[in-house]
Amino acid sequence: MSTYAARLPGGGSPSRQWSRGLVISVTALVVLAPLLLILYQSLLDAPFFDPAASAGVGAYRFIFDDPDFWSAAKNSCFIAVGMAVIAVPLGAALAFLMVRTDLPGQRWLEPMLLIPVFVSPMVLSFGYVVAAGPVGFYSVWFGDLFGGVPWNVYSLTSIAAIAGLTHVPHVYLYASAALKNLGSDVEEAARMSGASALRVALDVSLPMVMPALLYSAVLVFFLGFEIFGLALVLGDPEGHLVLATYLYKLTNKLGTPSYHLMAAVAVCIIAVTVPLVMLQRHLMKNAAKYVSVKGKAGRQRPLPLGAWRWLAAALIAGWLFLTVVVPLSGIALRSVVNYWGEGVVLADVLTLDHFRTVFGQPTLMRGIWNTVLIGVIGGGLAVACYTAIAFATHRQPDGWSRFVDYLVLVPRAVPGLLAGLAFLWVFLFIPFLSPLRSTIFAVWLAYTVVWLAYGLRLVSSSLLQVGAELEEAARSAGASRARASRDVTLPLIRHGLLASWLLVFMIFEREYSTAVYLLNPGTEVIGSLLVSLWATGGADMVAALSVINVVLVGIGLGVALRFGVKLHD
Amino acid sequence: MRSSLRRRVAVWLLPPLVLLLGVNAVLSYRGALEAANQAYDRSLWASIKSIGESSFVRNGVVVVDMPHSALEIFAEGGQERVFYAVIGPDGALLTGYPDMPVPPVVPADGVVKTMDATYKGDAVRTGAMRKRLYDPAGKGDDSILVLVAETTETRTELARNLFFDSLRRQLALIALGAVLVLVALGTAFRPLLRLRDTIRNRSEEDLTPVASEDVPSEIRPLIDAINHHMGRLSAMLDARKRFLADAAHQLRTPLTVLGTQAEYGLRQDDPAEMRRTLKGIVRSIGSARRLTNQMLSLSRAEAVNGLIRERSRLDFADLVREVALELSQLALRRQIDLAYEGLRGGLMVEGNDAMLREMVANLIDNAIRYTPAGGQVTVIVARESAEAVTVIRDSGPGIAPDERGKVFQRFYRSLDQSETEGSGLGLAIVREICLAHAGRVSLDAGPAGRGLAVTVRLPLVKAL
Amino acid sequence: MKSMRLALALCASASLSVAHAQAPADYPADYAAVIAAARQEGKVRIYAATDTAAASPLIKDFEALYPGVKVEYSDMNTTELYNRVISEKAAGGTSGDVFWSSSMDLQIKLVNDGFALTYKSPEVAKLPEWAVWRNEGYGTTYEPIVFIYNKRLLKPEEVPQSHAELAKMLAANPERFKGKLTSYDIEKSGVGFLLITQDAKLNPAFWDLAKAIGAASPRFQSSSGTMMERIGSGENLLGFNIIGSYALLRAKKDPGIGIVMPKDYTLVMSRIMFIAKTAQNSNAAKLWLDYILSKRGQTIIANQSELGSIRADVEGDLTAHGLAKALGSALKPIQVGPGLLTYLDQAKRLEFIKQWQQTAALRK
Repeated sequence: MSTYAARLPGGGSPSRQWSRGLVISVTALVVLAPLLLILYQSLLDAPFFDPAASAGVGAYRFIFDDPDFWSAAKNSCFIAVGMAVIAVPLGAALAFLMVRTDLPGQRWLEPMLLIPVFVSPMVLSFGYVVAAGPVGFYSVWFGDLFGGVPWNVYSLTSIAAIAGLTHVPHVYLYASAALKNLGSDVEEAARMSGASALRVALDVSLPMVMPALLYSAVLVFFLGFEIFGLALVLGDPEGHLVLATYLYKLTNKLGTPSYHLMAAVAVCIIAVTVPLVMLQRHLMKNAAKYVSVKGKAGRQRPLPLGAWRWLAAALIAGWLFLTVVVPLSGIALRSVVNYWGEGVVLADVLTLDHFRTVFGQPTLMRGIWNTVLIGVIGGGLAVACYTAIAFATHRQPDGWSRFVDYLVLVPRAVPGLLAGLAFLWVFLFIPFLSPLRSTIFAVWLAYTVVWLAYGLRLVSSSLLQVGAELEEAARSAGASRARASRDVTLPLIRHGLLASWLLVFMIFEREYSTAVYLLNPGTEVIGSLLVSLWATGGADMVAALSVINVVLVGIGLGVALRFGVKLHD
Repeated sequence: MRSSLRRRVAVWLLPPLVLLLGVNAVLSYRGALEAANQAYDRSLWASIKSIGESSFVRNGVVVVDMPHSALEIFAEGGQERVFYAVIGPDGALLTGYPDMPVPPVVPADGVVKTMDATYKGDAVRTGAMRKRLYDPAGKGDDSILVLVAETTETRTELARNLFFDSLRRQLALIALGAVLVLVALGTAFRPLLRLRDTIRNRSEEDLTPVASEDVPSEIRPLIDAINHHMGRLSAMLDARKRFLADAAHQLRTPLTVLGTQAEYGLRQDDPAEMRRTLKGIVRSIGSARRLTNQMLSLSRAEAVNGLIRERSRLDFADLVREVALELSQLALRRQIDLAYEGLRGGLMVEGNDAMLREMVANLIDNAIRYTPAGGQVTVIVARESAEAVTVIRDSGPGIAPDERGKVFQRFYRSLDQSETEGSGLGLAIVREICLAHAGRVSLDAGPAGRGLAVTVRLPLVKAL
Repeated sequence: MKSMRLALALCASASLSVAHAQAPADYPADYAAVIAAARQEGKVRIYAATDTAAASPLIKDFEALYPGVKVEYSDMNTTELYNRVISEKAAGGTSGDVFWSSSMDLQIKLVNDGFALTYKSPEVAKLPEWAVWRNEGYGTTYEPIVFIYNKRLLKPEEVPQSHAELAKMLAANPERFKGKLTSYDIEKSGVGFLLITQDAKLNPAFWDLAKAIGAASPRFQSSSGTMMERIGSGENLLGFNIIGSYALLRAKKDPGIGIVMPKDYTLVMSRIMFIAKTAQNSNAAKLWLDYILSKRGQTIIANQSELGSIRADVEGDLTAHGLAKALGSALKPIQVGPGLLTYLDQAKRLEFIKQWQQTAALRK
């Protein structure tokens, strides 16, 4: 990665400008090509490649006339708000507890916190159905104990709650990364003057990590509009639609895929996200005043929690139980039984047949291998790209940077399903790309673009923590801009980049909807295989494959930890 | 030669037949297609009607409730691809396939209009119908357009089968027809060929008429013409033979006389007597020479020789006058009064100058010769309606009325004029020349029943 | 190294078994040429909405029968398959050679829109007439549409044996099945929509049934896997319009699942297969189609893939033959033909969905 960054030449020089321009234009191309395709498609009345297609706003008229659309939009708002309300405070609190306090068991807790990110929402929700559905493992036990089950996992509130809980890690990662890069001197000073831990957290730490929290809040909000697998699995029985499942339903509602309607919905989603980006930029103008890494980072001293530590630990354990243990134990259990449910003694139906079947099928094996490949190598390449883009805009507050800022948020706003479809079109209809269509490169490119906002925030969050004075100091000592970046900034954010790699690896492991339309012999990844198997009724295989997926990530994470790659400083 | 007769007829008969076959093939393919269309259009109609019946207006919105039968009907008979569309009053597609071909004119209500068209690159049969919805809230034109099209594979196959069936039959018919034509050609031409063979196989001398009994009536005029021609030919040949025989006979006489005179002369010792004999010989030779001259003239004058064909326009009155003037010496010598009466020029005829001179000379010469000395010969030239009439009158012995027809024959000589030197060809020549100029010649008695009057009438050139 | 050894092994097996790959006796004489051309092409690309697990015995047997012709099998859902076909055709790049999908209506639409190659399979005489359209689209399987129920939780007398019984039972005792009835969400599942519209067409009392279903607050799912999973677990008790082949496969593993073939009428679905008009490996595609329709292929379909044989001369329970013995004239195969396009009509479809939602679905 450092070699890649080193290729960014001298600041202010023509070649520096040249390479910056290249990075920005390539980014714009890969982001805007699918997006414009979607926009164009939404203004037609048939697939854009159909010679009979003609322009018009019929697609919009159709969806705006459809009560389902409005109900889906309402549900999406509800879920997005609910998610932000749940995930942001929890994530921030978690970060504070993990980074700043003497919470017991931090070392082994840390990797556990990230597990909800590892697993595709499809699998998580399937796990919830198996574990906490009306006849789920836990529901049955709970019912036996208390004579009834107070929750309904299929309700909209449950969906929002589960979505919120599973997105806590996103917020946590941003907040903790910010906290770790902040010196604790101010907090210590506050502490010295007798403020309680809570007071310190709210009055001192919170304002300092506000930029990171705002970023993550916006991101979670986006993700709320993009929720698909969770709503697909949990929303089905009671017919709760969100925008993404509404979009998915449009695939079939008219019998033949109605691309124009799907594209129109996607455009609506994008229209929602654009104001959010504006808001975020407005808030970010004040980012500079929170930068606190001065010449030397202050040593951090944990804040003693006292008796509260056990309550905090219990809270975290409860959250982990709900978001990790329940669904994953459900899915793990499901993967080793033939069937389950009311009146079934699980011990009687234990089997390893599902795993045997998975390992016996070359397609599935290739999918597993591809998933590893795209996570490890593809993740690394993606972070390299994100870093390049981050450097292209870092501390250069000009029009281009603003442009990139808006740009990168856009693909995340497009539901993965449709983004995948748009990329399929791009690979189909751009001649020199078509040979790559049935290679894993296609999937990688789609993943990289779809997760651009997420990855870039990871990288630029790290970058922002580096005080501008450091770079300025280096430059006033005669270093070129590139040299300042390479010798000063890059080492400072090295850990942030490695952490980004790990996070992108996880995201790529669990991504599912984007690859659905790119699924081909040779491009199978576990995520798309799960969707495909789910549709054809292979619940056994879905469970086994999900467990393999989780285990793969676990192994990857274990290896990373073993070789000393720390998630945080 | 033998085949070309048939080929001629075959060439005229067979290509038109093939052309007819082509025209007929096109017509019968159209017919077959029409029959197939008629058969298959029914499903199209039924489909369109059923869609039309299931379209209605509800709350101001056009609802098209596709009936099952509309598309299923096509599963029954054929295996055709089906396209349909319903187009609203405003021209917007309500449902179905976009951009379907629409017949140029679709009647207002309930009538299904069909046509052939192309859709998505395939040949289709399209049916269209306008259906009024009678929307109470409708604004005038509330009719929708229902379109259903099916690909034409089954139709074309049926049409092709029908077509090839009929084509096969037609080809068989044509082949049969051709054979019949050939047979008929053979039969019909057989009499003609037989005739040809008969004529070809005749001996060169055989000029008898060709038998015309078993000849088709269409050919009989030809045969008759041939026979007629042959009759004339044979008559002419007869005349020639006779002429030759006569000429030989006539030439023998002066030769015999010459021989006798010469022998007589040889036997004489007296020079005076020999000299007289020689004079007689000279006279005989002169007579023979005249005879041959006249024979030559006659042969020239006969139409078959064709010498008379060179014609020009000339003044016959002048011609007669000039000839009469030339012969006036002879008349003087014979002490005959030759008079010329009549016009001085102005009688234009078309003819051969030399021949006409010969004719006039012959007549005047004859008149002079047969008129005793002191007699009178009058040449009268006059115009009588469109004819130039020339009368040559003499005061000679004349010709008995019953002899007058014969004197025109060659070598005929009036019995009572045997002493006169003459070949007997003069009048024959006159007649030939006169006939060759479309004229007439007649003999009459002179004035007061004495002598002879020869009248020659020649047609005048029509005044321009 | 490993792949090289594999290649060598393939070569060896190919040269050894050339003799096996003879055309069947009753095939046309020039079929050997098709086989030879297919071997030249070397592979056939199949886009299918049929489980790889179900297809793999067929693929193995096919590759054994015609060594040198490799099967590239892509499993995807029906809508994706349709998307792929139309967009790849428009792009003009490589696409599948054979398309095989349970979404009969979409397949027929593709055939109707001119995506299929006309090819008269030598097996065509052995197929029922309703299963072949234009010698382009071929029905390949015989899958009854069934009710499934949870054997542990539903007493035998509670199990409806026909559509009429189902309606009667739901009407008589709505509380028993409240929230316990499941079927396809017809808006999300094309197959579910196809089946329900066939019901509507066949069953004169359909809307009464729909009303009874609506009264029981049914849980609609978008995939058969979910429905079976939930019935197996007891979360739902009864499911209707389930594809029988999936249910049978599931019931084999899960003894808690019971299957009923409705006595009044049992719809029969047939996966439609056709060869792409623009197939690059058209000969190999023909081999594959003929193989699937052949007695050999159908025997595997019936006994290993559990999809049901469409041929009358293949023995077994899940075959046209076996089912006809059990159900007789109650079997109603869905005709492979343009009638399937009726409910692809957008106006018709939306109209039906609206009516269904108002009658049977939760959302009013």
